[in-house]
Amino acid sequence: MTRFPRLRSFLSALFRRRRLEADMEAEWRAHLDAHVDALVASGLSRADATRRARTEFGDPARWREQALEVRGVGWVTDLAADLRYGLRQMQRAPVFTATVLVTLAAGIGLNTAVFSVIDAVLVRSLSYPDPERMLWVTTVDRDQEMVNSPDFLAWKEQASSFDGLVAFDFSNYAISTADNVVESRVAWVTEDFWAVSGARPSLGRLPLNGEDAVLLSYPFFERAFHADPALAGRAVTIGGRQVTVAGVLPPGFRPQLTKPFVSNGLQERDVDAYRTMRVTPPTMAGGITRVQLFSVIGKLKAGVSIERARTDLETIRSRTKTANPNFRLPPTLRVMALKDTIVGNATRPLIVLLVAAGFVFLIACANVAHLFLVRASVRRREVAIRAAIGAGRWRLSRQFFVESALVGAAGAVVGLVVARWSLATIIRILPYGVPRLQETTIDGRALAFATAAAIVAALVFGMVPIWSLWKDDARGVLKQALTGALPMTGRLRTKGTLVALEFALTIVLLIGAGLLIKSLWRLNALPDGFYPDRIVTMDVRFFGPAYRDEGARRAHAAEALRRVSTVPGVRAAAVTTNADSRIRLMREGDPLPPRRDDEPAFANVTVASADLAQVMGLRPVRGRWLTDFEPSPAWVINETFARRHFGDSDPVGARFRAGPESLATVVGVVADRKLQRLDARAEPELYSDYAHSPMFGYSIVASVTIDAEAAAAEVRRRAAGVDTAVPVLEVKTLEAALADSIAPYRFNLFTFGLFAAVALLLASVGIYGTLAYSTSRRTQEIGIRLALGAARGEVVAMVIRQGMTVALIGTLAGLVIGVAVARVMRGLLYEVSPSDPYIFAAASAVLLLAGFAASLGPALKAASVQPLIALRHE
Amino acid sequence: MATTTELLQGTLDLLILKAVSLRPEHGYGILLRIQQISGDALQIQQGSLYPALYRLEHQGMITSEWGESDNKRRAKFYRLTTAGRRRLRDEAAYWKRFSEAIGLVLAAAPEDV
Repeated sequence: MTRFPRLRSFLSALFRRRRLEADMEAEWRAHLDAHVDALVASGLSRADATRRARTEFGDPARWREQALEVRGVGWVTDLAADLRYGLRQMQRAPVFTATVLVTLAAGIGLNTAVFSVIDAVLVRSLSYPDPERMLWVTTVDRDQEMVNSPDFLAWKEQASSFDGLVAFDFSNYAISTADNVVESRVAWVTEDFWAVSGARPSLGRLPLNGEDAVLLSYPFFERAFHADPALAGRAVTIGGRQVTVAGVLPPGFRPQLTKPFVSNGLQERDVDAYRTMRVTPPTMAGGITRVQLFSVIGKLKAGVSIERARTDLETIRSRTKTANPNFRLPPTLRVMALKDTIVGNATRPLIVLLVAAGFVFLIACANVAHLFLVRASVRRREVAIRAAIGAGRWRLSRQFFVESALVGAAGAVVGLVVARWSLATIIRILPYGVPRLQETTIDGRALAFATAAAIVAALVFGMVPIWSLWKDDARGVLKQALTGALPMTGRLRTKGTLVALEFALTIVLLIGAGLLIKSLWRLNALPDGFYPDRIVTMDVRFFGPAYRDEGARRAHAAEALRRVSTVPGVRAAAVTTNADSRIRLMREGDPLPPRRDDEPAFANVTVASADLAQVMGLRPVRGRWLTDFEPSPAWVINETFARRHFGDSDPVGARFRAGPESLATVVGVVADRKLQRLDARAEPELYSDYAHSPMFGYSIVASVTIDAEAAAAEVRRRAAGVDTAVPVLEVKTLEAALADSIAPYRFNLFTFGLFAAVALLLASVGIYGTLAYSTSRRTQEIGIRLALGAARGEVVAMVIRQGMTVALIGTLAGLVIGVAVARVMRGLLYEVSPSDPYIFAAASAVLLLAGFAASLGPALKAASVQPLIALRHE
Repeated sequence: MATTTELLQGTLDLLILKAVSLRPEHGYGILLRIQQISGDALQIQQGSLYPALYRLEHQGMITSEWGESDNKRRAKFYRLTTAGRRRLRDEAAYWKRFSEAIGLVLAAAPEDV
């Protein structure tokens, strides 16, 4: 009952105030009545007694306040009053409030989204038990970053600085059960993976030593097998082999692995299943050493430095080299923190993104600042009057503080909504171009960041009207405010500077967006007659003993091609191999090192059947295209190849070494074409005839006349019908395949474009606001000018000139910053110079046009001033 | 009218506590009680009574409940709590020491020094 009496009385004062007040009223009435009775008893008349009692009693209103004050709730009621007042102020100036909210929301929202992305990608550590001890180990040969099995086996056996070394690689497989076939991304991993990644199956067990087994990821287990627990321990068929499903990994299990090799032709995506891999010593057959190639990650022993690990591995390598004299190991060893590898390529785009978001935020702050400045001029009078009738500085300061904080908090709330939306959009438009993007969520730190940013922005500028109260005394303020003798010019110069700053920042963003747009346009510039949206591609992989024979593989390809060709709507279909396999070129009679030392004499090899030229729109410029029945090995090369190796002479008829014993003849040259990746520069390409090329797997490409998506399903069905044991994978239109290769560019463009658009809008609002305000303050002056005979056109020109001067100064300053920032963006551009003059010109034009449009409204309004009304106004 | 004495800062609380320790009293009753006991020497300003009452109540020294006064009026009666009783004892002891000390000082004669 009597415990925490203060808290109880505080709470009852806070929440049962009405009852408390009624109680006090009754008490005082009783007191007064008693007093009056006493006075009457002493001989006064009732009326006199009442008057006297009241006088002696004093003012109950003051006691009521004191009663609340005593209970510690005074500040609460004051705050409530301030909040109510603040809300009323917001309602009374809806345009101001809305503009500030939108500005803050845009600035904070975009910043929070970017902050969250950066936090997830760059800052948060890897999801391994000891992330800082994880290393990426690779050997490098030219641009190939792969580890060979002899190296790995030696390291595994001899290295003393690691707690575990994992070799891994990726494949796409069809996983089939008795009643189901699903396509899946499989990561092959060696046994150390389980310990290093801290895998603890949520169902089943880890694989036994040497067992061929898979563990499924939880999302895949749900999606493909309806989370059926009976699956654990059962065998499934993967690539023609029976493999045991040892177990299922928990939902959050997502250790980061490096990307698949480019030469695998696989996009990065979620791993559906982890399968045990065995690394075997190299085999020798027919003078060729065959080795396994894969990626390697390792876990350092506690307390061991990267440097020591590198020395350790390097020492072992020198022994391995001596032990394998007839096998050339890659010359360079590279060891780095796994996090740096995973994050590595994403750093630059993200930093550019951060800069862009930072710019938007600065613009938003500048905008909020001058919106508040405009408002401050209006409210100075209010402040002066309230100060004059007795409101204390502290009281007024607190009032404005509460108002600003209210606006800031509202901005932060709306900003978070914007942030959620932008983050969802960012994640949706780019599933895999940026590593770890999937793991991004708005977290508490981003929330704190947004709130702090909003409150600070609003507070700094919301307090401006109060500033003069602390500088001058109330009387001076009142005098100034009432006579209208405000120091206008200084205030306007501040606002002009803010707006110029906005323009400077905006043009930088516009330049960035422009450069990216041009890059994307360059990337998407497709040659005539090439319609990637009407080309369906799919991959066929052979597995198992049935296809050990080359003849069986050819027969499968021929049958699949025949079936696909008869699908209604298919115009032409061709067989090709997954490109990206490269060969080292040797001309007939060439000495071993290639002709020109500075150019690596490599070319990409594509096996092609006769119709490939038609499907892909390859245009012969010399000689002829390939047939399906070449009598001897025949090649068609592209223009880049011809230019590089033959200069101006005719390559047709030239002969190259195609295999240990065979020579290939160049029969034609085709125009350069980017078929694999849109962001690749033209490289030397050669197409080798289908009849004389070995095939371990192939792709079918088909050009279709009807809806490609519908055709794709039918094409897949027919191709899969040849042999249900052979999976047909990655069926998609070439457009989709190509789009994947430019996804990072689209992502950059989307974000940058969005930021630039927001910045442009904010800067326009800024210049509009400043001009609208200054013209409204100058109504009287403009009235006088008009009355003295100025033409309305002159007034329009005057206001526009005022706006454009600010815009021009800002734009010019921004161009200088733009040159510097664009240079940082070089790596994000494709065939566009970072100082592309057209982009700079276009960006300036867009910005100045926006400035002009924003100035026009206030200018016209100024010109419509009626001189008489204006003069009477003040 | 008898000479009234200005209240020393902080003594009002002590007087109120003492007044309600004799028996539960309402606000007006407390005023009268203090006047009566002090032989009209101490006059409490009506304006300072209620803030002091509310402060003491907030601190948990006194509690209040509605009841009926001698002349059949509804009134709010204040009563001492255990904490209030302790405070009254402490303050009274302090006050006694204080006034004795003052008394000694004032009674000092030149030959005592």
